Amino acid sequence: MPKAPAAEQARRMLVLIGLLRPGAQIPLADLAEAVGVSVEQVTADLELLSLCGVAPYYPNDLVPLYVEGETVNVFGSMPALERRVRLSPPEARALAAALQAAGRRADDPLVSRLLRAASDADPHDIERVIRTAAATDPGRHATLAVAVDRCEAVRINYQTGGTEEFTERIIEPLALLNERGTWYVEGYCRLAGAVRTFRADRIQAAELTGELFERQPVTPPGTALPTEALPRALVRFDAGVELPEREWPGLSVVSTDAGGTVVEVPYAGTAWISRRVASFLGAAEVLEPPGVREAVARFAAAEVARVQRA
Amino acid sequence: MTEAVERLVNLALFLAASRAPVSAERIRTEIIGYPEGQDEAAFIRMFERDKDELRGMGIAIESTPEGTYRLDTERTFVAGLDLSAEEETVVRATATVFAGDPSFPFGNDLLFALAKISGGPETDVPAAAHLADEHPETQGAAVGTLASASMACKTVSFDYTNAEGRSAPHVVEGYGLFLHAGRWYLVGRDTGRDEVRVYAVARMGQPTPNSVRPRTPDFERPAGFDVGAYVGLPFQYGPGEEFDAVVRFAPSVAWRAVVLTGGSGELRAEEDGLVWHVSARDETRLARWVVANGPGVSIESPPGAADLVRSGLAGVVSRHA
Repeated sequence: MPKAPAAEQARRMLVLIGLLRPGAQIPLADLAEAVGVSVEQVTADLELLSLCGVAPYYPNDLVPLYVEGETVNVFGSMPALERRVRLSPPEARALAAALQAAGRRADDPLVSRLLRAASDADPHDIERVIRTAAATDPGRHATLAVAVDRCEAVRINYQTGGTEEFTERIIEPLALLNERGTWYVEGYCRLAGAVRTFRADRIQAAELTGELFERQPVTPPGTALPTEALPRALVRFDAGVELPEREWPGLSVVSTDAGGTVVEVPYAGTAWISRRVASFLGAAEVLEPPGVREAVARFAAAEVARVQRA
Repeated sequence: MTEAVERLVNLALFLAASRAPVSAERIRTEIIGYPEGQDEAAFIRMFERDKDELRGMGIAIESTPEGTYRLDTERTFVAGLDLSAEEETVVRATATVFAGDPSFPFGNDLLFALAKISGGPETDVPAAAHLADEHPETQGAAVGTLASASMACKTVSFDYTNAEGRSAPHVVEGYGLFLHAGRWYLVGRDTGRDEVRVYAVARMGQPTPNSVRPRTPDFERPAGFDVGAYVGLPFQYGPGEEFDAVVRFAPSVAWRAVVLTGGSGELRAEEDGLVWHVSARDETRLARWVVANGPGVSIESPPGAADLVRSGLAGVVSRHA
């Protein structure tokens, strides 16, 4: 159940105590970000915290801080609670759910070690009632996170969507993105000579190269699947076929009649859209552009040949 | 409100600073925030509430047989947590990305967890997440409510619009929640129908937990319940009879099999790739899934599903000729 505002503020203030190191000057904005509130709210929290302490509440018994301008100054040791407080059950649940979404299930060594040291929670109990169910290789995710953090180039073996071919590429990873549980890494690809987005589950192997690159100013990470600038295709779905609106970001209905529905869909490459259309097993047809229509025909013919060979 | 906040923080600091157990009377007189002149019964009620609140924040307050109180330091403070630099980066990067996603329902708890174990969300990993794509704020808030009710074993009421567009009220004992393909789902026993059902949170109206006797559970979660049993692949849903399917992953794509199968069924290594034995309910959806996730994925059984792939692909060729 949601906590009462007083309890929530007290909880936040106790978390703030753990972030205040003697002698530190900490920007208020950093603390506000750390506890997820506005600078105004964190300032109010800190000012109230400076009045808290232990009996007999002499100046030396109070939380030693003062707010000046845009920073908080910590001029002494905390009267108590200097050590890190363990996680509450909701905090342990939140952390386990987040790590699960990065492919780290309850039996992952990091998860079990983390929760054992910092909470009373059993990650298996959490997983039985909350499942973020990411199909992610945690090792790959870790390599990419470290690479982005350190600005270190990564050598990847990448299987392009819809093909069996691998390409070895060196990328300078810039951001990690998660769309509907699937991880992507955005980075400058030296092979392509441009910024590209790679699906993490199509990276067969990722290896840190030891080669650091200078972080380029990038726009704040947005979505892994921007559709605005992509070309569009017109696709007809037969009547009765459930439109893949959620699987095809940016899909819009153009017209509907008794025979079916015509939609416009953005596509990044013909390999991707060909496989998508083919997966409707003849109940979808590309109307335009001709190049995509031909690509679908070629793709399906190759798949028929492959199935016959198998 | 300021008085209550101050009192809770002072109580936590006082107990943490006390070397020996302390009596309720000492707490009452030494902690700023307990009103002077308050009668005994009112003080006890307030103190009990405060202890519960602090316990809910990770402050383990223990009562002794003598009727005094002390902090259980072993259960209050983190001990033996030694993360490598790489592990710290992973935890920070993961927590930071989901704390900023409105469809992740525990963002605030996640930030607090990160602040406690890792000193805050400072990370150089630019990242963004959109776990749920439909009304992310609404889904995130609803799942937060449902998860809290589920943890406390309190029933929830909500209006639910089914796939046919019909809306009806439901009272549900929420056993667990899962995220799948950009949507959150609640699994629980519908008390009106007396059966366990799966509800898409995006189709729910605002869920309302039962507020009667908030500290008393309304139900007991069935022993051995695992919400993971309800997470399926598209071909595992539907009204059809359940059947066993056998799918082969060629060596070139076998490395992706664990991720693609999402833990369903059983993968066996064979000379020529991996063979996956999995239960299914819908042959057409199985055939579609195989084509969508190929190349290198093929159906060995049932023959009807394998035929659907062949005839379907032939249909694609003729339609685009």
